[in-house]
Amino acid sequence: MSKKTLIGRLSLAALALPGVMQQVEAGRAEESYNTDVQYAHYEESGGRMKVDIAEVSAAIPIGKAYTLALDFVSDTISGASPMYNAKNSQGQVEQILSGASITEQRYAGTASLSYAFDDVSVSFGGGVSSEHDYLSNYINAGLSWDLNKKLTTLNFSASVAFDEISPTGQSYTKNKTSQQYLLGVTQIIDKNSLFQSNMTFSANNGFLSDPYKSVYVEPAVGARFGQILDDSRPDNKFQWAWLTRYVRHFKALNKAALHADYRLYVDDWGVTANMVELSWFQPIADEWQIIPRFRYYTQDQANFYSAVFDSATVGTTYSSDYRLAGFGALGGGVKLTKNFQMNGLIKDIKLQAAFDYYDRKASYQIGGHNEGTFADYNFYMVTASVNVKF
Amino acid sequence: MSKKWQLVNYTFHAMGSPCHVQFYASSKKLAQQAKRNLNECLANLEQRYSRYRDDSLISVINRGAGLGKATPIDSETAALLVYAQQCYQESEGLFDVTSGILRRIWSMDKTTLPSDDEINKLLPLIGWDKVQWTDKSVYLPLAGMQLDFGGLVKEYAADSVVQRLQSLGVVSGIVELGGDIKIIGPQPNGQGWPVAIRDPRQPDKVIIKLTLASGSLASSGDYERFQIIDGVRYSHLLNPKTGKPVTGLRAVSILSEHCVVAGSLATLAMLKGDQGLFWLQENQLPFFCCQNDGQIYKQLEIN
Repeated sequence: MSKKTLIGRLSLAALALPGVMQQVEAGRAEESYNTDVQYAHYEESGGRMKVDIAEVSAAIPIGKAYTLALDFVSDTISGASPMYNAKNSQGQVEQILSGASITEQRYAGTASLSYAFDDVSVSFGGGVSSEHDYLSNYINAGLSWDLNKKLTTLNFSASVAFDEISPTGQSYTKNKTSQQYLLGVTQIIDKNSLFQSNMTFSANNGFLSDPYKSVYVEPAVGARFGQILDDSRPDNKFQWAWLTRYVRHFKALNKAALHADYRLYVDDWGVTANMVELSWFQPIADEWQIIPRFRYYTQDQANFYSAVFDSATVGTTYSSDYRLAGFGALGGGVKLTKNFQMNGLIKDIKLQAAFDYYDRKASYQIGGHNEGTFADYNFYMVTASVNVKF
Repeated sequence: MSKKWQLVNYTFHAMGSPCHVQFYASSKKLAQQAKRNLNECLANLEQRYSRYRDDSLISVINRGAGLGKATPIDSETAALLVYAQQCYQESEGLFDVTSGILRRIWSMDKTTLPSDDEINKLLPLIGWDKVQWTDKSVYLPLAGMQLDFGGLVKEYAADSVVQRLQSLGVVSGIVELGGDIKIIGPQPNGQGWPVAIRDPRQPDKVIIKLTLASGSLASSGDYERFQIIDGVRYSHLLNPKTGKPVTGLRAVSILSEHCVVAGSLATLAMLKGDQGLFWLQENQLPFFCCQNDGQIYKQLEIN
């Protein structure tokens, strides 16, 4: 119904009435199957990385209170990634990229069963993710608790993952175990704003090195050749992340919304990271929406990181992985979405296209650094996706 | 649908009117639960919005008129005020939830017409624009002012009852509260529910039959409550600007998704008086109406 007609305008006003608008109830209004099919393509400029993702998910109601959720994803990643750094003839550090572009195919399936009580819902689930060199199995449990007339929601979840790594070209298989615990609260402040805060604790142990990364150790005095060693990281890692989000709706601006996120990350490898992200969701008309977004990220390097190592000081743990370096990154972009609501077999089609720019520089890091510019890079990313709901 | 689905036929009296609810339930337990929820929902609305109850929220608000202190309200009441505001704006002040005070001089047990003096004394107490309200409280600034959701609550109740029953899993049924109708969902065979509109002058005579599979039908007319003084029929619908009963249409029925919208549009059409028919056509509303001369007009897509 158009907003332009009298009946449309009054119907819109009536939707604010609790007896008219379908309320979110503990029980369900209708038992319906929801199936989503999604395809997304992501590409970075310069052929650095390409990702194709196909996903099917279904939510199946069982009885009044149980829901079974199933999800299957297949993605293909291709591109070249940095392997290690070395000094060139001028004595400057350079990145050595893996020669041929790699193509990785991953399949993942998850299943979870949830049960809704009046104010509490619990869920149990598990999943498998498989690549030719990586197998991960995990189980999780979650609890969500509505308090204060559903204005406050508390979330707890715990998961354990058992991973098996069999690097290509190597004869060994290594294991890794990760535990993750989440504590979260969502508070509806008023009808236009909400606040969310999630804290995640993770403990990882086992093989945490990257089997496809190496480090370069400069030749000792008098020696002709430097050494290339496999990336070697500690066997334990404890991580703590805290995400705080504020969402505010602006009714007068055609129901626009501001999302402001702040994330703090600390781990016992010495990495501390801060991230700020702002997004503005602006509905235009006819279910078109434009979402400009901006992000700033800064992190300190890991204790055992160095661009290149010195044979006199190299210890038992070392890495030159650019992701463990100290750096900062600025990102910004715009996303455009369009929704088509339908009444037939297909309930809804959503098209999304995004264009983002990402600029990573050692000099963007807060608190200075001495890294040099060899790992700096910037690129454009384009993402396109189509999502169909049945 | 399997055989165990049974039709529940429930007649009762609520909101000052005879009511009739029919729905299909998969078990006796669900049928009982649905009736209980339905009664609870209606009792709750009556408890808060009935002007006949001294302890209702509306009565508390009205007693506070002119006393300098606003009455706190809940979010549902606030939403009704927002809706009333929209109706006031759309009707350029004709649909006014403060006009109920006029009933004092136009009450149905009177046998004489009120004088212009009596009317003029009340007119300053009418005016939605005078009401001071927020989403937390409402205040009527003049002693004697009154708020009356009479023109909205019965229809809104139909929407609310349907929502309640749907949340329990009822998918097929029809709710009728004093002539205002909202469909829960089509009959198990896929057909709509038969609905009849009566002749406003001969209530036994049906002038049109419809089948409704979804949405609402609400009606307003001078047949509902009226008085005859010196052989002239006076409607209970009163124009807040003149303080007098409206003339023009005998009855209007409107189809819309939500009963509260259908109801307020039907009332609004009646309040438009002689302009009612033109207004209905101009706004392309799905309607059925009977003019004062007995002529019938419609703009309905009838299945």
